[in-house]
Amino acid sequence: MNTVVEVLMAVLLLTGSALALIAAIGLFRMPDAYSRIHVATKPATLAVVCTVGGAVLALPGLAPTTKLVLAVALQFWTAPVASHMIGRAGHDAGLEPASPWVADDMDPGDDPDDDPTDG
Amino acid sequence: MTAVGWVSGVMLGIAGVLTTLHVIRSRNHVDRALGVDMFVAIVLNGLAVSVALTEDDLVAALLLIIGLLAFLGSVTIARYIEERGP
Repeated sequence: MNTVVEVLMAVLLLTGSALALIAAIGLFRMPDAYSRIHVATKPATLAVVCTVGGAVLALPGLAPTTKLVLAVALQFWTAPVASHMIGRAGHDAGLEPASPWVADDMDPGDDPDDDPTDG
Repeated sequence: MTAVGWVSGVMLGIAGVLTTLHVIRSRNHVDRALGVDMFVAIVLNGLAVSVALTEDDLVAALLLIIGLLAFLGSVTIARYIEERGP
């Protein structure tokens, strides 16, 4: 195999794995569930793009590339939706953040124009 | 390439163990749901690394299926959290 392709593949695989590890460490560093949702979505999109990119470089040809690109596209469509649904479920079920809400656009009683940070 | 496989495998393994620890010690279902979601994402990463190293076409289809299963699982847990509390 071409050396340039092989080096690029190694870099992509290691970047993806390192991103997953950093996100796992981030689960312990974030203060509440809402911040951890932000952390948990990173390996689902960015790291998967990196590692699957490495796999595409290793498997040339139309059929495997189609499958792998479709897998990445599916991740990009579904991961934000799933994370948003988990966050909204926590909010609707009454889960409190680590520090009080500054503005709560999901609360129907809260006027979105009335932002306390405006002064 | 073998060294890349070992380093990636060890990093993903540590990430999986840390995520499992987070799921075990978390206090509410939202934390557990996103921990499990992230564990599936780490498994997807491991599968992609194995596809790259073994050049096995069959595992590429697994990536699609497991990604879809992870979405269905997360949405289901979210519905239950909404009904029964965090």
